[in-house]
Amino acid sequence: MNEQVVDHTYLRLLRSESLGRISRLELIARGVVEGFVTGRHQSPYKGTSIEFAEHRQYVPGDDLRDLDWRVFAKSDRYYIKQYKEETNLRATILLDASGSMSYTGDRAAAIDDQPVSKFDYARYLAASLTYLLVNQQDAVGLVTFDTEVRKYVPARSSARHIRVLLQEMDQVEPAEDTSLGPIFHDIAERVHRRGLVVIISDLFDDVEALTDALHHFRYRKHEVILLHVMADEELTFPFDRWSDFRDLEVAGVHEELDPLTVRAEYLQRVQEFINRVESECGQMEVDYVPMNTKVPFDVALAGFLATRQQRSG
Amino acid sequence: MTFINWYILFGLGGISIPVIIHLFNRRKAKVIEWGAMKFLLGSLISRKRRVLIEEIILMALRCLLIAALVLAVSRPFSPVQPGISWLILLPLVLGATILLATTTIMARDRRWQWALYASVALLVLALVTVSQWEEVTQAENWESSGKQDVAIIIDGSSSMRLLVEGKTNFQRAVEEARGLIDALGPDDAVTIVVAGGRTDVRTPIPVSVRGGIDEVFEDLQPHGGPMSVLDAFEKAATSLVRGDNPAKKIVLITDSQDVGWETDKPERWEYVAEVLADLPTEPKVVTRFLSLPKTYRNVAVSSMTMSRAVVGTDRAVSIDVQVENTGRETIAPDGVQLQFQNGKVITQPLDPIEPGQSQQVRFSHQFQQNGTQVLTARVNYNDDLVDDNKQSLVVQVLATLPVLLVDGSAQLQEIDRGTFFLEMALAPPEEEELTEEESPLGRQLVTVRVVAAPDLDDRVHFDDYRVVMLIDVPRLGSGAAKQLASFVSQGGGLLITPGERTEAAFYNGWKLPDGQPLLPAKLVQRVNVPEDTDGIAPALEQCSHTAFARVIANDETDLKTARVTAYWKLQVDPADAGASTGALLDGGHPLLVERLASDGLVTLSAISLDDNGNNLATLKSFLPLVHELTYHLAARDMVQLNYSPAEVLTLDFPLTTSEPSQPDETAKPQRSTVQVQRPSGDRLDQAAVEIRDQRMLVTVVGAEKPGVYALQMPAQLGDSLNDLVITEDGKAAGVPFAIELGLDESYLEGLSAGQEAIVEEKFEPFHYFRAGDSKQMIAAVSGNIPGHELWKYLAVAALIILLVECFVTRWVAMRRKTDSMPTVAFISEGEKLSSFRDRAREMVAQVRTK
Repeated sequence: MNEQVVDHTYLRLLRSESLGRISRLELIARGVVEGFVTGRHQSPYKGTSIEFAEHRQYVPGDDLRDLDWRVFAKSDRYYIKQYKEETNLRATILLDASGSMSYTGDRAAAIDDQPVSKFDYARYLAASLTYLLVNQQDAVGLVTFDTEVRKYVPARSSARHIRVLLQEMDQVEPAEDTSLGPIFHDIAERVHRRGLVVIISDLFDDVEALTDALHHFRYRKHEVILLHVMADEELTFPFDRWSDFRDLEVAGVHEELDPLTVRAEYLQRVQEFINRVESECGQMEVDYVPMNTKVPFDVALAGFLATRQQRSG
Repeated sequence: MTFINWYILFGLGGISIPVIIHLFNRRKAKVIEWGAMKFLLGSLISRKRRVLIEEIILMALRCLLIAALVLAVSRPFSPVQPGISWLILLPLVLGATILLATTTIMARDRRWQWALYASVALLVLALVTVSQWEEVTQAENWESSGKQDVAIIIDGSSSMRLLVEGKTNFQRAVEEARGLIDALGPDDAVTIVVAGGRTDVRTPIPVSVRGGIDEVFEDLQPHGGPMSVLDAFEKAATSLVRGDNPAKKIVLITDSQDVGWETDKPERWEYVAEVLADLPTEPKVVTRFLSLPKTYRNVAVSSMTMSRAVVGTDRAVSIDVQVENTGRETIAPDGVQLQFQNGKVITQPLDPIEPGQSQQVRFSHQFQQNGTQVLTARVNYNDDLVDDNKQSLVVQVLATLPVLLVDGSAQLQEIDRGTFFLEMALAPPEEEELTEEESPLGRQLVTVRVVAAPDLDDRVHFDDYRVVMLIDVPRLGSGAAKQLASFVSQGGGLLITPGERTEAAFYNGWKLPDGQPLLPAKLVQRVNVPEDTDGIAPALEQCSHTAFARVIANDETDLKTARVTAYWKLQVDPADAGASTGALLDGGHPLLVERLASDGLVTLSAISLDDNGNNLATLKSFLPLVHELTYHLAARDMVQLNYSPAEVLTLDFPLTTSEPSQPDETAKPQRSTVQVQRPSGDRLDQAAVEIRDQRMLVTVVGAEKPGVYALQMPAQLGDSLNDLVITEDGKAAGVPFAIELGLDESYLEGLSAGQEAIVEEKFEPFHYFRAGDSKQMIAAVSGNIPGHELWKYLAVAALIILLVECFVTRWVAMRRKTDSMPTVAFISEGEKLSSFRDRAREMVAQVRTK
């Protein structure tokens, strides 16, 4: 990629204020991870590496190649040399670019005095995570999708890769319907090496299809973090006068109604949906993180990271 | 139906206000680009039908509320004879309103909406048009053509005294009549008719409303007795003829009791219709029925009877008083009291009486003094109609009852005379002189004189006697026979007991003055029962004669041991309507036959009243039997002083003279008048008197009201009627007579539907109108349109609709949960631990400060 022709407007995604804050936090993987930032996150897996870890007494069955002959020569005892394994995290961020993500509620947190849309909120999150992970020497990939995968950028850990990813995030605009299931299955097949999968979406799709797809990720031993982004209006339905609701995903679909007539039913349905998603995630050990756009994304992210740190700690 | 404020109907356009608000809201709908359409559409699908129904109901209620308010303010008026009923018009408007509301919610097409607006406009226009058309039509029907004469008939019958909610219906009727007069024009004239037992036209000529009419009401009282509706209309019409105003109206204010309408007499109705049709202009008839209560308490003294018509001071007499519950509730009066002329009062208890049932109370009393006496029975109970709680009876207590015994065997020894036993029985010789107080019986009533048949010459007259008995008289001289026939025809009582000497031919040929046979049966032959038999007994169970019946009624009677061994065979002509058999012998032979001969009574006995041919004289029952027989014979000669109510009543008094009665056919009758005091008080009426043939006929008009009347006898009649005059406080209070109480007015039965239909049909040619209330009556007479306003109902309806709207709105809100703010829990597991969120905020804060 020629750096001269790169559109640098993506840099606005990396708001220095936010990144400054985020860089102070450490993304601590929960449970089993294959690799993390060098020197900061100790791997539970001991392997061959350049950094010596410790000696232990030989027991029958140990590989003779690991014997520390020097110790044997000095003390006439069999000791095995053990090294710390340094592995890098391979994270893939799945960014929902469907039409519903373009909803901007009046109550959303403002950036530059403008309320952010759900999609903006999502890509700020994605960008911040990308920057953070790459700075920790981790490999980060990006998938943008609506009813199909729009762009797949495999994970890499180079600093230059950030630009590629941020540029991609910046260029994509939300459109079309949402179809999570098939896309997640597709991505699960493409990402062979197990790693971290971060899904940023409003999840406006069939719960069964979503659950199936998450199962696929978990089957592939991926660590899954589900950042569920919703606008406050979608959660409170505060409308009280006749309104014409126009579908952001399918053109021409609209409904003119008195919002009060359906409010209770709507909120009940939303609650049931959220409960179900959260419940399914809990069962699959998927880290479900609700994100209300009225909370500034950096606060929300910090809170999320703090929670993870606490759990691992 | 009309609308008094018809122009307010244009306010019905206001129905479109909620419609326009609804449509405006729709048109100004805010566009929201929405992501979570999946949930919205899902919610909408499950609620769409319910929401639609809720919206329709709410819209309909709001439109109805406006419609009801506008209609109420426009004051709908329902005439009593509407061209188009409000039952059609109002539901039509309200139905159209609901349709409009429904279509507003359902219709998405703008053309429909415009059609709706047009419909509302057309509806309003149609309503205004119909209302105005009705107004014009009604005004034509009811308008009064200038000055009018109005006859107001006020029901003054006894039932109008009924207390309803603390006021009598008569008072109500008078108040309504006054209200009506107040509403009439200054040039109108009024006739007041009070129709009770008699119809009283208080103003023979219609009196101007401007003056004089108020005086008529000052002493207006119900007359009592039953009202005659047709008579009242006839007299009202007669009065209206004399009025000068062109228009004529007759208003009847009554309590709708079914008495006095004569609906079963079409010829009377036709006659009255002709009278009404003969008025200078066709009259208009308006009736106003005051309501009768559904339940009321009323008890009446339904009858008062003496055990015998002839009463003396010699023995006690029974007085039976019948008390009837004519109300609708069971009542328990405190008893019945009987008051005598001398002020003595006897009270007898009464058991509770069921509605429609009656109870009889028997009083026994021995009069101490002869003369005319008034007995008044009163039931002690405070009920809703007091008029019928008492009844009076005028009793004439005789000083003596002179009886002449004519003996056909006067030549025999005293003990053998046929009259011996009779004389002894009727007037037993007093063994010693006893004062009245000491005697178990009072002074003997019956006085007896015995004469031999041959002593009766042609100059004899019988006016000194009440009863004559011919005992085994063979025959009479022609003069005596003629006199005796005359005696009978003028009210005397004659008993004939034929014996062995009796000449049948004479008796069978004996004629009354009018040519009729005197004997009620022919004497055929004397029959002797064979000696070997015990004789024939009287067939007691077939004895209907009063005298026999009274004796048989005594349980201790020995009349059943009577045996007859010789009797006269009597032949009763079945075609002779005047003859009746009162007693029979076993075997069916007539024992006692009677004939009502003019005013008198002839009784023929088949057996003798001595010991000849029967053993009657030896029985204990003989004495009471001959006394009862004598009283019975004398009863026809009693002056009648108790009458049923009658519009015209003629009282017939015999005039006693010292000269033998010689009817003078050529003598001119004398005519004069007497004054009559009515039971209601001291109002004195004139009654016509005609004196002829030794009789005085007094004609009293309007003797319908029950109670005691008194005739102030003119002085020129001398002492003829002295025996009948009663005295009060030492002064002669006249000759009393009583009008008995009829129960018609005591049973408050309203006109049946059939009777009302007949009344309506008969009055139909006279623009008949039955006013539902006083206002309608006034409107119908004063030229306004009678009817009633409906705004109150609509105002109540609007209030109810408002409450329902509030309730439905609240209910819908509760169903939609718009009043509570349900929230969606959208928070991660970690965030639920508030400390983490706080920590996150702290961290962010630290970064920002650096």
